[in-house]
Amino acid sequence: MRIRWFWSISVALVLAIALVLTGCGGGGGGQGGGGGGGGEQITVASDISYPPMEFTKNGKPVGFDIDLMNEIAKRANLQAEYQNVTFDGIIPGLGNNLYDAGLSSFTITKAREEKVDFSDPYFNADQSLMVQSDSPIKSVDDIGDGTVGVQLGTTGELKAKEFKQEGMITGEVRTFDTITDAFAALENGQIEAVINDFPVSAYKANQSDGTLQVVQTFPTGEQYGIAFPQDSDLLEPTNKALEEIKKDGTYAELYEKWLGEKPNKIP
Amino acid sequence: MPVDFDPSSFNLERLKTNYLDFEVVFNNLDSILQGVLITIALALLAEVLGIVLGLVFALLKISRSRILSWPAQAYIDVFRGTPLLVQITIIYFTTASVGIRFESLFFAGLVALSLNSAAYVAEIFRAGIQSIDKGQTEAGRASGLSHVQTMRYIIVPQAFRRTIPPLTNEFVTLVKDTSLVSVIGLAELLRAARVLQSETFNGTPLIAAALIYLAICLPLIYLANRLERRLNRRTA
Repeated sequence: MRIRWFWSISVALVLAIALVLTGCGGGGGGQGGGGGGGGEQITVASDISYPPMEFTKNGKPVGFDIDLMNEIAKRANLQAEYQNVTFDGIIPGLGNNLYDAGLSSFTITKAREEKVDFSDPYFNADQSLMVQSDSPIKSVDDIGDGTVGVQLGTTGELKAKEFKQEGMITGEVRTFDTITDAFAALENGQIEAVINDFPVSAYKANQSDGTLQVVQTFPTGEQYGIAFPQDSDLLEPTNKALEEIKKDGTYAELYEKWLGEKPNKIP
Repeated sequence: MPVDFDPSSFNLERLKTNYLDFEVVFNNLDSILQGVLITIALALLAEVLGIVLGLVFALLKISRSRILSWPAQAYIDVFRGTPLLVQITIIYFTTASVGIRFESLFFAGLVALSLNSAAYVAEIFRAGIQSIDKGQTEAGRASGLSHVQTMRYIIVPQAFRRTIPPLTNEFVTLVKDTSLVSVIGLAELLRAARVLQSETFNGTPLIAAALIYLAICLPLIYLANRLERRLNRRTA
């Protein structure tokens, strides 16, 4: 009797593993939710917790970046498959050929450009300082030894560390895996301020029923690009599609849809 | 196919520069060493607090009074039946809403790890206490000791010795579990390594962190094995 039990469980296990391995579970891996043309499938890594640029609605990735990427994919005859990963792992992952593209509100920086190739810029952003609305902090000079939250690996982290190096702030710069975690800590009063990309912090402040406020922007003139492994052959068709999208009005349409206003200047 | 092996992208050179470039770590040793210190301090303190709390819960659990044993059982079930990562996140992010504020991240992590460890340690102690021959209790009671005195002077001291190997293993688990506290932003070893990775875009700090965890845990694992063998020989 015992032996029979053993055999039926073993067979069931083997079947289950076989099912998983052959992909009968369906739907591909990761976050799923692809979009674009019907052609070659590409894996796009993104930290999908950055509204309004990339976030999830009903489990599906949505946002400005996602719409833009799907539009590019459509025009370049590609099929974008999104994988939800931590932000700080994307550039190393691209350098290791783990993904075909990184789409995560990446500011084009010199340091990153040494590791990956960026598309032409597709978004103008700045850095910003967000605090609780009743906070005495009105600018970076008021932070003192307060704790500043940032997302690991972002230009917000670089900016905060720059302030610290210059002695403008003296407290801890605390890194979080996602900006959502940093926002939660700010709402809880566990940190005093968040330094982060302006559009995303502004969106959060708007949604916070007046409890959070962006009190200062730092005009860095930074621009977002889509990251690719070096010498990727996706770069050229992406840039071509991006240029069309900027020219034919699709860009302005998407911008207004997600940012709630017309773009000042198309990058 | 869920796993695709493409021999043409096999690139040992890339692996070496991206994951085995230890110069990246040596050039930024300060932050990594600070992470190591936090990891060790966290594990040690959580082990001590876990042992104290765990002993209390173990004694409550084996108590004959339902009012005492039931809450202890519930506590152990909840902390053993939910992932530590979930416990850390809940303890840190929800306590603020009910007015509890941890002055330091270290303390928040310590509380979560200690509460979790206490549940496992309680089970270790319970097993240890129940493994002591019933004759010992009977002998204690026959010589005129009360139930509590029998536990205090005869059973618990013997049980404690038997629990040293499993407690050492629990400490190994704790050292590794401190890495989970990195989700709330504490700059222990794993987060220190990831911060360095994000600054350099190089994965070597993660490999270095793995080697450091190994260097801390392996001696302890072998120590636990030896203690266990010695104990078996003595009681055999």
